[in-house]
Amino acid sequence: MRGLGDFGLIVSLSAGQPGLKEWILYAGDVLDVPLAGGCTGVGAPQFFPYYPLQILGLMSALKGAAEYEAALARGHPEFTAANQAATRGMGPQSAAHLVIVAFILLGNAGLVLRRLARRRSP
Amino acid sequence: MIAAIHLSGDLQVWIGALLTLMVFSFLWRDNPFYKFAEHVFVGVSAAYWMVMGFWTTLWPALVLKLFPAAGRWSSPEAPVGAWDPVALIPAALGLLMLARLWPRLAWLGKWPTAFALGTTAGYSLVRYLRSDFLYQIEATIGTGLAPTSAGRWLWQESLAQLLVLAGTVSGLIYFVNTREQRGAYGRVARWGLLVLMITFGASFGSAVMGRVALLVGRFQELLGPWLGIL
Repeated sequence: MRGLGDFGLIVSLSAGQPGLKEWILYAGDVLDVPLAGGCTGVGAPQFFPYYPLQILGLMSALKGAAEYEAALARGHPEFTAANQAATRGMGPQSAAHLVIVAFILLGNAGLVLRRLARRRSP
Repeated sequence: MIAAIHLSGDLQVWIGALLTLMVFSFLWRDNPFYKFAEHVFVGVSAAYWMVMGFWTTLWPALVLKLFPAAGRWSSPEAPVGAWDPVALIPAALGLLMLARLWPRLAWLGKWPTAFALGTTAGYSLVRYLRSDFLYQIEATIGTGLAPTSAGRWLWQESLAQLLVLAGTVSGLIYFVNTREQRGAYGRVARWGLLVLMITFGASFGSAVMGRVALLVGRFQELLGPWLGIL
């Protein structure tokens, strides 16, 4: 083992800089070392274009971690974590998303009603 | 039925929980507890990066090259390296950077700044050109519009490739301002705008998802290790 090029796989679990982006720029693309990563939901959109040519896979945010746990349980049950922390977190996450969607719908409904009221008023 | 509360006896858990509540208190209004947590966060972050910078950059890249015997202090078993006089150059540039602290010598600080900016720009240009430009072009059109596998046409991949290509080209056309966006050309540009809006929406949605995941994590810590309800 003399350098990064001798690695069989690089997995970067990171948030912010330096992180997965730097591993793509300075390791994966330069040395042709297979690269995979895990990142926060905020940073995920900037990594989507790199899949599948420059990164083998991307585990983004809690959702990605829950998907990873599910895939691990299906493919390698012997490595399945007992607490399934990410999968358990998806319940409150989904509830929070529904609340956000409800607020968006309420806000838009309010806007439409206000416009209709403005049109009707002389 | 409400589960019984079993408060943690771990000091670390208490510090984390109290700092979380102090930050949440900003939802009520700005207050001394929030200010305290904010200052602790800034102080700890600054100290962490300073220590990390010293042990991961200054120590191996400068101190150990100028004073190889110092390595015995941090790693007694590690072999002592050779003295590297080239390290005197970054040492001198680093000292020049500190000249900015004295107004009369501040101009000396421009040299290391110029060196750092120039080398970083030159080094990054090649990397970004390869990763964010050439490889992205390859990813967009590299596999062709009708990929096959074992003689079978992959229609789903073909559709995805077509969408990516159409979205990329129309998005680029939207930013061409040297031609009036009317007629068929204008419709393509509007399609490009739609693709951009969908992209920004997905990006924003992902950011919201990430923030909610952080909130869920904090509540899991509060209700789990701290209160023992979960």
